Amino acid sequence: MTETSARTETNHLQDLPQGRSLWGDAFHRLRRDRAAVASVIVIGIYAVMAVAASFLHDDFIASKNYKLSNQPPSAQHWLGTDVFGRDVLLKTMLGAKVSMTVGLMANLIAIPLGLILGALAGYFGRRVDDVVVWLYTTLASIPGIMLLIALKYAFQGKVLFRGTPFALDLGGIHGLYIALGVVSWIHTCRVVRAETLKIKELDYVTAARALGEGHARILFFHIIPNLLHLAIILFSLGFVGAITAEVILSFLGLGVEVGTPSWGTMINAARLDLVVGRWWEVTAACTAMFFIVLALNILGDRLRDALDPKLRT
Amino acid sequence: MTRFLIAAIVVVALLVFGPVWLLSRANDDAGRFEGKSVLYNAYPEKIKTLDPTLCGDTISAAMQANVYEPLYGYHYLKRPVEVIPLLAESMPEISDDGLTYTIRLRDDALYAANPCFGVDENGQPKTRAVRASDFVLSFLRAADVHLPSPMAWSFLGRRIVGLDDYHEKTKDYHAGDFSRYQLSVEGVQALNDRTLRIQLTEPFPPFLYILAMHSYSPIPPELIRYYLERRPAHVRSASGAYVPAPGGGREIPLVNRTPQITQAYMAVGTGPYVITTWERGSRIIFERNPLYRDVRYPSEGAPGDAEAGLLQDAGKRVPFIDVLYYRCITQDFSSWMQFLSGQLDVSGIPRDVFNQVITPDKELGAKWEKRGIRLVTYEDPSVYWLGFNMEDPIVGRSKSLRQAMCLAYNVEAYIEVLINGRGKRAVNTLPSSFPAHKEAGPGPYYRYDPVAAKAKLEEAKKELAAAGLLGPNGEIPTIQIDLGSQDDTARKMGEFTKQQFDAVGIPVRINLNDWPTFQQKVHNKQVQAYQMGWHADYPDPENFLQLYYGPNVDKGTNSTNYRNPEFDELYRKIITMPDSPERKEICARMVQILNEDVPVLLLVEPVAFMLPYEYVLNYKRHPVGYGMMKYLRLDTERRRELQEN
Amino acid sequence: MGAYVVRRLVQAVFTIFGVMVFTFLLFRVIAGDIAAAHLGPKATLQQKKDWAHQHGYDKPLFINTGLEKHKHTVPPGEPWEIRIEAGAPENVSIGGAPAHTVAGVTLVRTEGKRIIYQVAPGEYEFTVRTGQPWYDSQFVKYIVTTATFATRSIITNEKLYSIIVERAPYSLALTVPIMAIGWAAAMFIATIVAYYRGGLLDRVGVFLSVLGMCIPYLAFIIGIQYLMFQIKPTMAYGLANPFNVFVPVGIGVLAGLGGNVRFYRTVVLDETRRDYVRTALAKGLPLRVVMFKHILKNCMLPILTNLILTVPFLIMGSLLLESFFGIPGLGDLLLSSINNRDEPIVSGLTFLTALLYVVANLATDISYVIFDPRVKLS
Repeated sequence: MTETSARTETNHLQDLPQGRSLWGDAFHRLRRDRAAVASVIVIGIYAVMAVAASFLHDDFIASKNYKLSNQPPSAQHWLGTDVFGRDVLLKTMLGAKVSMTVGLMANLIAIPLGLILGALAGYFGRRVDDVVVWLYTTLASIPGIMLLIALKYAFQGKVLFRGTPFALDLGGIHGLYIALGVVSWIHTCRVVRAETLKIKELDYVTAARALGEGHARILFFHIIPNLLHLAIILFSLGFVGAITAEVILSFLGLGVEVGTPSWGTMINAARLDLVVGRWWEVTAACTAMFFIVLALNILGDRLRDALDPKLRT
Repeated sequence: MTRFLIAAIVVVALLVFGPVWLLSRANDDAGRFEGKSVLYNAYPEKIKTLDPTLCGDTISAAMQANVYEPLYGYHYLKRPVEVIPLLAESMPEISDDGLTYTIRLRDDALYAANPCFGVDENGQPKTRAVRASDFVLSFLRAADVHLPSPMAWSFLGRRIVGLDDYHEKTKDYHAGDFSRYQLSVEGVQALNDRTLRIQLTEPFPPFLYILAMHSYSPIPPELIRYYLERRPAHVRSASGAYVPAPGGGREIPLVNRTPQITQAYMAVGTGPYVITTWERGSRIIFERNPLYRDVRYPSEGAPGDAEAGLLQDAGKRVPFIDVLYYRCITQDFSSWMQFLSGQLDVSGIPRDVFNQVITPDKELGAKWEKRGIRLVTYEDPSVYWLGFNMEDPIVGRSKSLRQAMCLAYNVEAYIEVLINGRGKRAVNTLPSSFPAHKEAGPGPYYRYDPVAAKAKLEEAKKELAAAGLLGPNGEIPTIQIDLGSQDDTARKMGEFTKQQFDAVGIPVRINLNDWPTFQQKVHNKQVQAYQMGWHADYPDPENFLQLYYGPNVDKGTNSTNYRNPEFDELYRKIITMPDSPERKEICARMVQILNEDVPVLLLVEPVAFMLPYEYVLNYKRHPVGYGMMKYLRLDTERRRELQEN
Repeated sequence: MGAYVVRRLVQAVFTIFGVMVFTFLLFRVIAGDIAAAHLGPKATLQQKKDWAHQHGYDKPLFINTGLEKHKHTVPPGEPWEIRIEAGAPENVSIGGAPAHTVAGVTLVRTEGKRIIYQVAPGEYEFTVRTGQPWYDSQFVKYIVTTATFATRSIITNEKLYSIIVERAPYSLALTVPIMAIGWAAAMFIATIVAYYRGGLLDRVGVFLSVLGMCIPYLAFIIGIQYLMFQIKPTMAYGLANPFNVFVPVGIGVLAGLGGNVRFYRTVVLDETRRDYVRTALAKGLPLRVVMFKHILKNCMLPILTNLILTVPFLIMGSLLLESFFGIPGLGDLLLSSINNRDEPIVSGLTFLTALLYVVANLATDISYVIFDPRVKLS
């Protein structure tokens, strides 16, 4: 008699709906969302192009042929050739490497920096807050262009940790990452700080403080985990900012090293080309940029929707 | 909510139309030049200065030359170029030892009317004739340490008796203390109102060319007293007459004074035009100087000039054009479009439209001729190269490496791909129009020969290995090549250069710098190879050879740090010799030494293409002289015809 | 409230000081060969030294110790004549002892402020007591001239103040209409798109906005300027007719529309998700009414404060537009001043912008406190 009732009890337990964490729930939603899936696929394609570029780079450089300079699209060269006779389609794919790495690296610097400083400022308040706010207000007051130019000049020709595997070529691409990172952490910091101020007042945080938990524990286990969803959204949007910044920096003459193909240099090189009717290089770079930016924007939007607690009913 | 909407619309409308209203109050020139002939032109960068002593760039020089005139100038049409007297009455009297120049001035050269000479009872500004002491003042200003003259002082330093001491003495004076201009210098003296005597420390035959530079135009001391020592005593009334200014004539406190000529109304010269409007970075307008003396269009020219119609105005009085209207247009796209729509009368050809405009035979495409555009080409006495830092342990020490690099560079491809064929390969360091260029002959390494380059490279590796300078795998260490600008043209040039050296196995890295950083690196000898060019200041080989003279390293003009005692010995000889076949011989020998040592990797001598509309008559570019706008004439009938279509 | 304002003012002063230190350091770092930048490539080394001395660029950076060191190396051979600018021989020493008592150094004569020594071959380090006060340094001079707006351009010697007065109206004539029209247009479009959220209009709107964000600014400028040259050339460049300014204004609005619409749309949508909106909709109010009566009003605060924060940078104008259309504004001046190393102009303009930005920040913070009842002062 008792045996059968015990078995039915356990079955009931198994029939209860399973609870899901924020992350699991978000993931589940996104998987269903076609636009989000499409975006991820596009981003994946670009990432693959970026990796493949390292292997194709030497072939590209060797393919120069001065006699084929500036040819319009044709059967052999689907997107025409550039000034040195090289295939524009290949060049555009190689340019993805620069944009993807710039977007990734600059944000890998900017987001954690903004996150940590914003959380510290919001959590500790007072002096720490004053210092952090002073820091980002000061940086924000200087016109961005001047800051970027100044940083790039300051870095010209300098190499940190020369000779080691961690050599940082400040005058080249690493300096670009750092410069962009330094300029873009401000937005993240602001947003994170505002959010931290709200989280700080939540019940379970005040409870943890009352229980005497140390600041470090609270920060690491309660505050920062609640900021991660914000960080991810900011990362995807910041990626876009870094890519477009590379274009502007090329205009100012501060972009990648000479000889590296990038969308920024392709666009900047083509100013009079449009008027002369040479549309292929600019259009290729713009289109490539368009799709990745669109994908990132849509993904960022969907992420925000998926991770926003208020939308879940 | 509706209140908010209305408020928003009102605010937006205000913000949108307010500024436009503000702008419309700024003056415009509708109808200002009715009935006059106006030449519309553009310049790509801001004018740096209107002070002749401070002039150091081509744009400022071109502008200033409309207003100021020096003692000598160049014949407009004759080639090779010929010096003619301008404010001087005749060619100078040179003593037998070549040290003393005695120059007589014309008596009919008047300054443009300016209130600094006084104002008559009708409120009209007065003028006076040029005096020899005005030239003395201009030389003293060139030597003044408070006037940082980029060019004027570099040609006079250590050349004029007593001027270097004067230069030192000016350091003791405050910048605003102009009593230093009263000091007497032995080497520059006004013997009387119309006679100037200059004494050199050693003979220097190219000195005549130096006297033809606008940096040494006469400066009236009234200008200093009226504009730089005091506030201007007069102000222009609405009717155009000068009336005493309230508070004018007062002395400016010493610390607030500047010795520089900074405003358009201070630019007092004897030239064919005066500046009537100057908005920095925007536009500058020159109008005819009514007091300009009688100067005539030349009646002789170079072979081919008569057929080209350049002598049809022979003997007529200049200037022909009433107004020179220059706009500052930084984007060559914008200036090109303005030219095509007839708003500019002359233009260069931006690189990207070149192939649309010019046929492969380097002629003007038919459709452009139909629009009334003409093509004028001229050779610029400039040479561009990649210099090597001779003090660098790698490129400086290994002659074979430098020679290999010269042989590896495909200059012909560079000319085709990057500059639309607008130039020719430079075969030795002198421009091809210069004397001694032909005699010296082409350098043996200034040609494209990748096979020979690789062979030289092997030699270079041996040299470097012996000095222990090769990398761990026996390869040549990466060579840094620095360029002086960061725009797209520089980037393309850099990429091309890298391709050249990659092809033979020389690893290079291209650094794009902006101009000031580039200068600093070059002068601190922190470069290995760097891009450079030189535009002739005057048509004498010495102007290019001085770039390789040993003692000029400390002076700063020898940026390759090249030192060769044999070369220096020969330089000291030619610098005092008057022109002669023997001198040409020696110059040729010096060039041959350079051809062998290859302190520079020569690139191109540019050929310039200009497009004037056909109604701009008498258009001929002068290689070294400025101030030739006075010879141009406009066919206003033809222009009206063209613009109607 | 008063205490809050005072506290913010104090922070503002610190910020401005921070900006000045930053720009000072950054500029000195990027300066390169500032003398060469002004004198041109044909200037001699001595000229450059003299120029640097005249403009005070050889003074110590932060604190003047009153001592100047000169190293001289005389090669073997003849003794050299060395001139030291020192005022009097007592001020010159080598290694602690008066210079002329050191072996190999003889005092020849004095010429005005210059002391002339005859020096035998060897290496010497002359120390000159300049008598300059500790505050005679580049940084102090920089702070004083910038804060009092007394800076003068190195190139033209004009006062910064008059340069700003002359050029700012042009920049503002460009950026203020762009801001106003841009705001109105983006607001209009964003509201419509948010209203039809999820529908075709929304998707098309997002697509077009992203497209607008991706087309490079340069492409807009060149494309539209080219069109203008075909249609009406006189309007395509310059300000001969003041209404020409609407061409670059149009470009500015179009180019910025994409980004603005995205941002405003996000703000409006975030507001739409709030509880009170769901309550109102649940109560049966039509979305249109809720939108106009509540949502837009509540959106205004973040949108307008975002707008106000861009105001300080309006005065800089738009670099590219000014350059392509020949508008003599301040943005173009800033870039060319950086390139020409006209350091007083760069620091002056940066200081002005920073000042305005700090003031704008202060204004928005205070307006938040006044207008948003949820914000509490801590």
